[in-house]
Amino acid sequence: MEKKKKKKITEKSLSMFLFTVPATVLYCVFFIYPIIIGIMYSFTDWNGLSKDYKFIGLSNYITAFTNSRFQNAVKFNIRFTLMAVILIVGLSLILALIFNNSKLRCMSLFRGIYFFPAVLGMLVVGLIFNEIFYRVVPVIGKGLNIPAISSNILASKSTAIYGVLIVHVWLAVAMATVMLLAGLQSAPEDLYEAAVLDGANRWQKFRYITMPFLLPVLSVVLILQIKSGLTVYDIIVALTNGGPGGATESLAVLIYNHGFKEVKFSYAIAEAMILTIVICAISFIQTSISNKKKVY
Amino acid sequence: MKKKWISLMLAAALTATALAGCGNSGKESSADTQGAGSQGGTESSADAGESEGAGTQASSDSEKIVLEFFNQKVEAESLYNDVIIPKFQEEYPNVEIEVVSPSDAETVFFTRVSTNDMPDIMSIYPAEYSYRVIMQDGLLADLSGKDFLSRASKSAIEYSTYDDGKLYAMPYGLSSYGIYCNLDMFTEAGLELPETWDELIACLDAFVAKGMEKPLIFDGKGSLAQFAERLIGIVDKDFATVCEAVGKGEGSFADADKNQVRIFSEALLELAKYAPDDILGIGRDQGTADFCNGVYPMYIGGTFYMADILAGNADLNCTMIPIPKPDGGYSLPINVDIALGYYVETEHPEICEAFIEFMSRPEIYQIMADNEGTPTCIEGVDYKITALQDISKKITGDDTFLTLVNFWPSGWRTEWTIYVQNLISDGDIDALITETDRICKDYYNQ
Repeated sequence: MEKKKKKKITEKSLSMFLFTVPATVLYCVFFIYPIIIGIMYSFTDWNGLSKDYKFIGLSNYITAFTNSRFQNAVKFNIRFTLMAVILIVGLSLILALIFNNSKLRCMSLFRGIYFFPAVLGMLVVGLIFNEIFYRVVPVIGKGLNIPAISSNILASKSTAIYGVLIVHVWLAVAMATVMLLAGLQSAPEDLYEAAVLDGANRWQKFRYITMPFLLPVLSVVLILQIKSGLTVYDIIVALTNGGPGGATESLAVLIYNHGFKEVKFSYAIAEAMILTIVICAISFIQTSISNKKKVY
Repeated sequence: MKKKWISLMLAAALTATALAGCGNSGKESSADTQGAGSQGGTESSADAGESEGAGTQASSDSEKIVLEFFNQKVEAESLYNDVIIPKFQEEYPNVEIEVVSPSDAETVFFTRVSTNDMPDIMSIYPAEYSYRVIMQDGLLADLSGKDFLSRASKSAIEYSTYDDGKLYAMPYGLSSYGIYCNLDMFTEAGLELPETWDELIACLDAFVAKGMEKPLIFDGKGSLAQFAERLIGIVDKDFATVCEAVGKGEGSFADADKNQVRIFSEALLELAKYAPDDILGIGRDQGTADFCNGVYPMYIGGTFYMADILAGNADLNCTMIPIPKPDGGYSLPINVDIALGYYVETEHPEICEAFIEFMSRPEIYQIMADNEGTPTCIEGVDYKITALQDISKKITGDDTFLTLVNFWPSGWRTEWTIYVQNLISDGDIDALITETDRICKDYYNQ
């Protein structure tokens, strides 16, 4: 009897294992293998074109850390990600709370409108906003006599980051709102009713009921937005191409430029590896912190 | 037991379905794969190899030869497909040429090169560094000594020849850089086209005096690299040699005898005064649109902008003039813009060569010149694009030089452009000189 049970478990495990085979194979072929190859190339001087290359040890990594463009790109990414995460999480949380509690008739319409940016292509959005910043905003700025927006904000080294940030936030808020809304709706209604009976005010209900149920989703939103901020690429290419004067050159743009435009492929891979480690570390720390506080 | 078998079958089906997406469909999936980078295949019997992967395959029911043509001139794709290739097929009815023109073609091309996935025929820029690496690696077939080379101008052949004295790509078009002038606006303002630097500045001042605050536009974003590269070449066509000397520690651009960066900076800043204040936020699309709509009478750009200008306003009465040298006269920057070569290991070198020869016939290239717009170097072709008539004659003249991107180490221009943007933004010439020194030292000591 004992033997039969043991055998049954093994058969089940085998079936389960076999079901994971396709995903595992695909994951290994398209993800693990390229990473291993990438790590190998990051220790070489391969230019991405030539047949020949030689191993140069940690030279690419050392150069990356001492390169001023890499340092500027890291600074840009940290600054951009901080601003983007605060704005995206803040705005999407406010919108999700409004959509969750409001009894307005047209709420579905509003939800649709706010979700609309999420279905637009990044490049299309970039091209549209390029024209808005060049042709529309300066006219409004001059009309209202606001010097800060009286000329194209993408043209100045000090303001270009905000142009990119506006578009990035506008795009990202949509999906974050939908996710947070789903998180809000996972909190059971009876807990709120019990809290009301216990005399809890709005803030206490939010702090002790909503937040713990929201944290798993909030954690995902945070990781996604941090990752999206640290790897921001397409919107920059469409809006500023990293300029003016390298003011919006993010790590991803720098990696692309080094890899494909400047024929320094192995060096670009080393930079990409550094970025990957940073994202993994941040995600790990962030997940560890939020795991302690959330409710399942 | 039954469940186990069902599970096994399902898992196998899932794996097969998932991996099927990685392969080619239809007949190719069962074909014999030839070595990486293998090219066109002819199949006349059941056991003949069909080629897949490298973009070429042979039909199983005929002797059709299929070649892949990687075309980097995206705007010419339909012209190849609809006109030129059908004409070629009149002579070679069993040859099918698949034109591949992806967006961001250069990135796709080099990615394919790096994975040894070479197309049969490809359009390249033979004077540029990255393409010279391909030549150095022996990936392109040698065309030296072929009769049809005599159809191209001597300068084009010279610009396309690799360091080993061999020619790996047949040149068809030469591009240049200059100032597009809206002739109607010039006539309206009563101004003549400028020929010297002083006349250019006087002309811009005249437009300002007539109430046009900003009479000049150029791409301050993506294409600034091209403009800056051409302008410093106009200042000194041997600037790349000076860069190498500075890179190897022989002086600095702050030295009196190496003042090219200073002259360039002063010239660029002078031109930028007449351009919109937010020029660094203006891209090629916006510049072209504004020039087509008559917002600005002068637009700095390449001959390769012409197709967009014609698309934006086919009736625009404009012409291109050379950018004058700040110290007098002019010197026209040239690049080899259209050139075709073929993969050295293609299975059908004779067909690839035949196509390259076919393209070089004046009556065939006339079709390209009439529609695509790039000034041609094929003798006997009547270049009819009115706006580029004058510049196309100058391109084949003596006052030309091969633009500097072909001499700088790869990446030099991209990095330098960052500091050129800073120059336009801050006006700090000394900072650009310092950075140019540093970039030279970085790149020439790698």
